[in-house]
Amino acid sequence: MAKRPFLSPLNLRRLRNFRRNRRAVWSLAIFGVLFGLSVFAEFIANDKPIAVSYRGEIRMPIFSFYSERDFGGDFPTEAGYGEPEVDCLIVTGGLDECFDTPDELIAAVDAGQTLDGDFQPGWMLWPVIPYSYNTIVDVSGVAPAPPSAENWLGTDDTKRDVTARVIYGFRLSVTFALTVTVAASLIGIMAGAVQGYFGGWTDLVFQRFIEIWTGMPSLYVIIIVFAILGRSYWLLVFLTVLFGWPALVGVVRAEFLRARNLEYVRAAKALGVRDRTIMFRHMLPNAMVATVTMLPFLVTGAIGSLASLDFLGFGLPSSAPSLGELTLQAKQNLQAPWLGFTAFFTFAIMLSLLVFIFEGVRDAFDPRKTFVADGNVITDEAVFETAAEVPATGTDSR
Amino acid sequence: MGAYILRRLLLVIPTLLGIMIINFSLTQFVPGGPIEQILAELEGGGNVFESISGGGSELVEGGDGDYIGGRGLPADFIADLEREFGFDKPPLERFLNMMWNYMRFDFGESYFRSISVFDLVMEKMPVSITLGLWSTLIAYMISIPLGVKKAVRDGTPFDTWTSGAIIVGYAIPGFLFAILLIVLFAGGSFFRVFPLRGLTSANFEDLSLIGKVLDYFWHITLPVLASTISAFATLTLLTKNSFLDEIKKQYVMTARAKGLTERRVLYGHVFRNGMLIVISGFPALFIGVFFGGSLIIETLFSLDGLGRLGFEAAVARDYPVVFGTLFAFSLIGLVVGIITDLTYVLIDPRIDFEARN
Repeated sequence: MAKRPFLSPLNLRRLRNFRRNRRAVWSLAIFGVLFGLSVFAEFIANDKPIAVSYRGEIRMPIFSFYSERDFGGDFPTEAGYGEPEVDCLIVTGGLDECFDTPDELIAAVDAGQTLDGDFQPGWMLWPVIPYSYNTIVDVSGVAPAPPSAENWLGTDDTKRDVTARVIYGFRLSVTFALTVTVAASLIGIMAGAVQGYFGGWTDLVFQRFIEIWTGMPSLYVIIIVFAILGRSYWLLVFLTVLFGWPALVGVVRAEFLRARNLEYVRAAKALGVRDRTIMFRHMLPNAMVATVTMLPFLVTGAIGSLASLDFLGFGLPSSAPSLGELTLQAKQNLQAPWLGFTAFFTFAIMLSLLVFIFEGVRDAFDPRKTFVADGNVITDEAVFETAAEVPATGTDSR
Repeated sequence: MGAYILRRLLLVIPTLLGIMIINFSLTQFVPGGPIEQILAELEGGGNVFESISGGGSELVEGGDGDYIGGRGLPADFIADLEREFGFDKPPLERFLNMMWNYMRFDFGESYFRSISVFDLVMEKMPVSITLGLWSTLIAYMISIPLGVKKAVRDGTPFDTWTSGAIIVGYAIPGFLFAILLIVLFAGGSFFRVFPLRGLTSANFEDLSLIGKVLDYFWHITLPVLASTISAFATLTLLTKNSFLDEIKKQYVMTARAKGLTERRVLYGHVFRNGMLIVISGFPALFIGVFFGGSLIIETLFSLDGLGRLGFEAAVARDYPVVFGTLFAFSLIGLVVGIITDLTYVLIDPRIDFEARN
């Protein structure tokens, strides 16, 4: 192992192919930036400051709990950052006058004045969006408020900042989809491999089992299970995997059924290689192309089903920053079109990027394209592509 | 071949039985049954759909089961209900009864409306057929020529960007398009062109024939459009790949060599062969047209179709409807699966499902 290069020549070629697909590379770059940002959502959209300097001491409310008392206030509860009193306590270093005329004191500090008494200037570093996904925005006006300088994408019908919810919702959807895809693929590949490799009765019985499984009304089961166990993120992941894994079984099974009688498998069997090793070391790499073909749709399918469940009210717990719930709100508040536009374009951008990336991955794995890119091997397709062009320009004019 | 068909038909039985057993036993664990639902309705529990179509804000989470004690309703009333619904018998007896009835295609009556499950399904068919028929027609009329064109221009920028557009259309769930269409064309904020709910207007009966037709199409434009967008991808790519395979073959070269126009080559020679794989999807398509239901599209446009029937029945625990439709649709689905496999053999006699080693 140690002597081998990090990537085999084949994988290097795949990597090169992927890089050649500009749409996939750009999608990956954009998606990387977006997802990277959303991973640090707490630093971008939060109702607590990232850092606070209070009497010369740097505190990070984003990580740890500070009561109002810690800033010279009265209450042992968490400090309400964003309230004028607390802000005043922080920037002035805990002056008692803050409880009477906070706004004036803040204005004075902002203007660079030095105040009397026990004054020690402080500062707060706020995230770009001073709201978390569940912060109720404290502005007057009707509930779904249109986009403004404070709320870039407006607020939803419980006055939460839509931008913040989209950032957190994006992260939630993507992590959900990736978790589900990885788990469902692993189970699907293993099931399909066993089924195809052993064939015969195993295949027949398993095939019936999958027919039964896919015949289950999944929404009905989800409703029932939620009614019994209550809702949670991981339960939803589990249930989605439960109904998602058969998607891959078909293709993997077909590949294994085809390959089980090929010479290399027979040779391996004759050498006494264990079934498990034959399946996963020798046959699986050949079945990977078919598997990777399905990947884009597994990922987008997972996001889609999460959105539908949330939309129907049978998804994540209602406090979660869910994009499906945003869609539902868009339907309930047709007078607030920004909700609908935000929901649609968030999904459209997220799903398009994911599809383009995984398409690039798939094409990179596709043996026809892998080898044609090298210029040594020309596939039939390429030959007939040129053949098809000739009569179109030449013979047609007669 | 006969033996193969017989074996496949026999295998339907354990599969169907399996589906019914699993779902029936799952139901036994559910808190809150149809009786609780009736009691909740009597006491003003409300409609499960209000949360989506814009009424109330509370979600009915399928009966909390805390009604017990009857909230003042007399105990013998509840006992009567139980007897009426057959809940006084043990589960096994109920299951066997149910299966015996289903085998004779007697699907019983809904718990909540005095209407047989069969009539209930029939009642919802117009919506499902409307959505299924028109979106399928549009999808075929656009996808097949597009697929052919993409096959001919494989690898060109046209091919690349149409593929991109189609796949994005497929990846984005249809209901998001529906929301966008509603906001744009039926919401009032932009163009208030299309109606928001229903299959026909309230004054439908008074309209002239042409008025009726126009009214119908006016109502179904948005839902059909929303449910069509995701249907393009599979069909277009299937057509494209099938044509790509065909175009490589010798007879196409012969046709070209004898000087046929490209159009003649494509639609006179290749089309018939290239379409075989598409045709083999017809049995499934046919069933999809009649029994397909899209819960969310139906909910969004306030249409009363099969998708909503299933969901409402599941939420309200209307077991005759849940199990009746489950049994009937699973049976249809399994049989159609067999027919589809047989069509493959019909269009390509080289395929032989019996060769299993």
